[in-house]
Amino acid sequence: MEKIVEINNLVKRYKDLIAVDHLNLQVNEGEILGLLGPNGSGKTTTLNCLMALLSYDKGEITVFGKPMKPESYRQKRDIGVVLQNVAVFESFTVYENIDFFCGLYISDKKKRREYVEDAIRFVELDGFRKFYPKKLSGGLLRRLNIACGIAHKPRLIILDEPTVAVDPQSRNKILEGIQELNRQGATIIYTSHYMEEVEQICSRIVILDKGRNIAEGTADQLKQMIKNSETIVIQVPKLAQEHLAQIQAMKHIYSVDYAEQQLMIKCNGGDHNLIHVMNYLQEQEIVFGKVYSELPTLNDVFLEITGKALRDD
Amino acid sequence: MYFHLFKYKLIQLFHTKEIIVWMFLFPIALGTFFYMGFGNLLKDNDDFEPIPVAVVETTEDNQKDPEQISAQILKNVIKELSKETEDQFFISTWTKENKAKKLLEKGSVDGVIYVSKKPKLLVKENGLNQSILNSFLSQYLSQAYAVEDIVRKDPQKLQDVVSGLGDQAEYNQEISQNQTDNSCLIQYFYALIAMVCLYGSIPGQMASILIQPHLSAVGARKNVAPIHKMLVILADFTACVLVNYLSVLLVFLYLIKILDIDMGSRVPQALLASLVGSVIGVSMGMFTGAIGNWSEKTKEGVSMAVSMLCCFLGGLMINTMPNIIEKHAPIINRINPATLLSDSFYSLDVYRGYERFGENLAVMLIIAGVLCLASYGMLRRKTAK
Repeated sequence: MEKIVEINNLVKRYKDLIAVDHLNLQVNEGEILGLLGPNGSGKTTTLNCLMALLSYDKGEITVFGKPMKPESYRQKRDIGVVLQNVAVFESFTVYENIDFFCGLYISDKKKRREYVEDAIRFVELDGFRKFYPKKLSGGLLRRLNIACGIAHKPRLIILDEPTVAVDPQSRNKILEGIQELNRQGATIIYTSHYMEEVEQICSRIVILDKGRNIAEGTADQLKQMIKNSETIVIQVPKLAQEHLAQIQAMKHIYSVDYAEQQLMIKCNGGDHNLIHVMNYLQEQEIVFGKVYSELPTLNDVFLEITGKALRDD
Repeated sequence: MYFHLFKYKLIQLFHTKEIIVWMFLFPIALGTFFYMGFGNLLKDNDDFEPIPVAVVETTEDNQKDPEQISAQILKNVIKELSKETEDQFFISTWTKENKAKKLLEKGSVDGVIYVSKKPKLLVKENGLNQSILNSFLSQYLSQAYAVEDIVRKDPQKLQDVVSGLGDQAEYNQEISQNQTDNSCLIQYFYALIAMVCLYGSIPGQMASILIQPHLSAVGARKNVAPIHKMLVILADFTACVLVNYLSVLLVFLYLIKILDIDMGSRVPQALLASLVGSVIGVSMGMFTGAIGNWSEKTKEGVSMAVSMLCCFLGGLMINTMPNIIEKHAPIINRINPATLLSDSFYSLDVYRGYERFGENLAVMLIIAGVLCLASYGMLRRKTAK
């Protein structure tokens, strides 16, 4: 599998602040790589270095096998960028915006016209082609932003938090669109601090913190890296201390907590943990109410590795 | 690629409110205010309308009486000035006193001249025509007394005196070096044109900001595209100059065709100076937009301050300022685009040759070149935050 992007030992400093700290990263052809991390973790700085928008202090970046520099026009031709901030001209219509940015990559007018039409259809802005950006809703504006970045049909698409401040319906459309682009052959780098999104669409995830790559793999692989594999929560009006000790002693259970009539059990691996606990409660004729089981999230992964949550909200 | 960038820059500029307001509407409005403020001062003397006047004659035809003679001369002068020629001064109605007063009351005439031993003027209100009539009669009376005096002392010289009365000696003659009808008021309109040229800094700065990845998202997007920055700058620069120059042409057209202002006989040369002015205006904007790593708002403030300072030092606000600068710091006059531009217009109006005009244009082009190169040098190094 061809390595589309290779970042080796990247260091970017802003005076005393180290924004990217000896980062190593590879992006393979055909994958959707998710860069996950809280605000300030170095995601956007890494992408800016990758796009040669930002100089860096140390390390090397290659794209399509060649070093990436500001004047690497051949590589840039095959890269599409969807920036975090909506990057469109207020004074252009939807069509003009897409045509303008597509025209920076495609000189042939006939080909460009086809590509622009394809992009408009892809983001479903057919009925809005003569609209000015200020007349578009937030979701439509984000879709226009994406169209401007992908109209020239790039091999590598970099999406920097494209769903920020977007309603759920538009967000789903955008995520579906990204998956479709990947199916059409584009390799995608997707940054977000929404772990659900990353988990939903990315084939591989890199978790960044303080500019460092702290973990990478598929979502399942990442979840297997942590101790907690399942959290079981049961509403129990009354529970004796001896029962608590017996539950604690059950196989694959490493933490039991009972407070305010709620029993929280954490498991590390094993199958059917919930059934085993339920059987025990029934055998002991312990009355219980609501029961639910949660699998670990990427936030749990992040929490366990760094000791803090991915998102404050 | 160049034409793609150029075309879209033009679309963008013509859709930007600030550009339309400051570069197209504001100069037109200011030109109109100037025109309204200067009023009749701008009108050529050829537009003088003869003054309607009633003449009441109370003299007898007696060539021996010196007082009667002077009245007779007044009568002849009025008749002469009432002839329907290009130089007609009066539209005179010779009538009786009662009717003359009625005409004055109705406003049919601006004054009543009594041709008598002691000529007098009757007017109903103050005004320009009334002042002219008063001035005319005062001049006549002073000459009449001189005639009377000479006739009393030496009647033999009467004929010489009468024939010499019509001669008016001009001891000062207004000569235009370039043979144009120069008017200092026209310089105000050329100052307006110079200001419009320097307004080129507005689109210049906007273009500069939209190229920088740390100041605008579209700037970042342009920077990740496979195009040379020089090409983007060149396309944006030429589009800005074109739009700025169109605004200059529009102002010229408005002043000449709509307000009917005579801008002198060297309008083509003034248009050439305006083109160079647009180039330097846009260059200044690009430079102030590129310099430093300040925010967009700070750069706008700096650009505005620089433009205003140049205009102030160039005499576009106080016309004696370049003279003061010339005394204390002449180098500023040599490099201030506003001074160079207004001096180009001034030299066209005053000097017959093109030496000074050409020098100014050359210096402006050199400064514009330096500013453009410096802007490119700074813009190509700009990176995202």
